[in-house]
Amino acid sequence: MSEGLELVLESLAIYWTSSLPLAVLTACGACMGTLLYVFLANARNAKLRVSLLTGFYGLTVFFWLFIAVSLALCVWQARMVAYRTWGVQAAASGALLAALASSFGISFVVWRYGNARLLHRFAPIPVPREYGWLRGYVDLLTKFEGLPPVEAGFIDSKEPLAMAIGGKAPHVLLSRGLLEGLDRDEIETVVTHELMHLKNHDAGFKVFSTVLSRILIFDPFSKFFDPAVHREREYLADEMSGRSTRKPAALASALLKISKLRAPRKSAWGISILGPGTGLFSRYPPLEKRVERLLLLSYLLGDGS
Amino acid sequence: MELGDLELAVLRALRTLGEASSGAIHKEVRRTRDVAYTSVTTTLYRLVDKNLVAVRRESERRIFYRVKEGRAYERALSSIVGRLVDAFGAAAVSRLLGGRSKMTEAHWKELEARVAERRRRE
Repeated sequence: MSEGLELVLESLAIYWTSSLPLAVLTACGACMGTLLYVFLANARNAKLRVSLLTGFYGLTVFFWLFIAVSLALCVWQARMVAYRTWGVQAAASGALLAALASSFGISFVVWRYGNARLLHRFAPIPVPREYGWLRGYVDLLTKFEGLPPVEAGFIDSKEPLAMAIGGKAPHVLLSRGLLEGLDRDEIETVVTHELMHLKNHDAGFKVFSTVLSRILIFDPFSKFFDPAVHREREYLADEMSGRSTRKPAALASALLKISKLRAPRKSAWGISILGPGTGLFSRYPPLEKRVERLLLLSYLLGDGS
Repeated sequence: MELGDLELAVLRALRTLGEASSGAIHKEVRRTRDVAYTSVTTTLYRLVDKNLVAVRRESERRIFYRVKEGRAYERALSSIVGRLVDAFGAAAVSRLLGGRSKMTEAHWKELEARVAERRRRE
């Protein structure tokens, strides 16, 4: 083994057996555990859960950045004679500061500009005249639900897309493929589903977590837990849409019709109302389960027969 | 990595059987096509050479084969999916990833009928 490699390995061994970096990682792990506990203990508090998850994502970014910067600093300082005396403290403090600054920076940029970028990508135009009623429907519903004004946008694409985008200028976007494939009742339930995502603060979080999970490709949290949360949010938005419109079967019918149309583009996976994939890693619940739940809700809201 | 029809049939048989002897694999392949025992064993050797099938030797006469899901397997899979997508475009991806894939046609029809019935009452 070359001398340089030996030095690097030795410096890494000294670093990762020191109390300071281990204490930082333990504190980070404890914070993540606490957030997860509070998250699991507050199943119905949609707003709190989204805030907790956002914080959790920030901590995840910090966790990985701390490890990466620590490694980089250890390698860089390995040849310094003074490493044994103050190298660990310097590397740990540098990693802590760099990871804190970067995770705040990345989280802020994604949170602040993610929605605007998504909006730019789908390039919505004003809703065409033949669907003019949509504007009024969205206005009425946002007023009733106590939401800030929401803009209805139109995507000129044959893909069946329906998505809510949060941020400073919240939007509900619907595509030509979706509007042409569904009847009015079905469109209303789909729009309500998307508005419920805005009401539950899912829309901003979905964009935030989708972008961050693409950055953190190696992170187990974004691979297992995040899709589970997305699936839960879909169920919740389905239920709230069904209760609000009192037409859950119309939403079930819309989902069945959308699934028969062409699959949405990859950039819309996890954001549009329905997407491909099933199982542990999918951001969408199984279609049949969604339909079955909506049918149950329809029985409950109806005469029970 | 390109795979022939018989190679695919042998892999399919192995997936159905799990670990199996060449006799059992031949019997399974024969369910769908008329093929000689020696052709199946030759194909098995070829798949072992390609690192797609693993061999377990209990004795000189008792040899068992199973699918080996390693890098070669992933390469073969990517090649087949690539060919599919080249030929059918986005429709192939929709078909592969679509949520309907796990629902049988009968279940789908039944669900549609129940939804239509409920919609009439809403």
